[in-house]
Amino acid sequence: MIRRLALLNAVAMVAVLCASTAGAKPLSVSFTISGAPSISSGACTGAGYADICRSGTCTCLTVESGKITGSFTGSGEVFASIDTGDPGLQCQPVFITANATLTRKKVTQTSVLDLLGVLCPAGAHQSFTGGWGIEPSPGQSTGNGTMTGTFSKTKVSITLKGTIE
Amino acid sequence: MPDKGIIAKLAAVSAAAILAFSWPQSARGKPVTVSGTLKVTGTTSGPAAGPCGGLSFTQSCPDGECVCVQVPGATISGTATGKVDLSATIDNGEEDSSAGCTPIYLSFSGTARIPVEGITTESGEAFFVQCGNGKLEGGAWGITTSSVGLKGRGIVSGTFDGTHGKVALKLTGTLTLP
Repeated sequence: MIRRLALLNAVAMVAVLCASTAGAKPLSVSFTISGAPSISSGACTGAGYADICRSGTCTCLTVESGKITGSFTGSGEVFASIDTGDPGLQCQPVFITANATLTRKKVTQTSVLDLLGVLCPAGAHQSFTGGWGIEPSPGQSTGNGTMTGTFSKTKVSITLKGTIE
Repeated sequence: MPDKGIIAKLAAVSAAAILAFSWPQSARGKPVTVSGTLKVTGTTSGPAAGPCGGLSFTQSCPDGECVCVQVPGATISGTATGKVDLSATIDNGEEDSSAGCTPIYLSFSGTARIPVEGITTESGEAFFVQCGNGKLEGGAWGITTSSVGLKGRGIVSGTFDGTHGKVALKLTGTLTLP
């Protein structure tokens, strides 16, 4: 509950970020969140969007101190529930919440991002593909786009491309 | 000296080459795996409230705001040819839409003509990440039951537009004949 309240507070702060682009044409963005992962059994809990686990058999991937580079700089934490309950599928559904502190042109804000994708085997690592969006809130701008990334035992890297308006 | 069965099997495999897929060396008692692409095209029915029935994969609705879309008699072409019925649970939950994309839980069942085995019945499941205009930004498929023990799995791209009725899927992966 505490974490969810923290997330809601964080969502409110998105307004400042969006204010810089409100009324203007959509801002194209591309940024990457990367860091060292830790894995635990079961779905992530108290993490909002990342709590989703359709099959009931999931693992929770966490990046506690991720680094953000690209259109924004900053840091963030990532919670990803990987649904491993359907072994017949080549790739696994993934629901992700990213709490990010984003800095652009000396303005720093905290945003909550929801990401949806699949995690597929790709040689020595696994690859993410999917989409992302800013959690909606009245009076605030929106943002969404596509995501790609990789996941290995030592590093998670997720790149988000899209627009904020 | 190989028997007639093996010769026939190799001949069928060679015939499949016209489909431009590469087959590994075949041998008695060993499965034959083909890498290739299946195209599935069809038109969706109007959405019905709630998740689809049928396989458990499409019965659940993690966010509680789902619709069910059917694609009866979709056409299969490529590595195999045939017809398939699709049932798709589209999860439109509030949290899901914030991701800019929507998860789709899909089951399929149909008949397909495949090299060597002929007409078979197959069923399985798929998961898609559906984004703007129905474009898929990720997905996976797998065969769960088969009349001939066929196994298959891979990734999905293409379009699944439940609003405008257009379904054009490209399934890339492998099929393994028993």
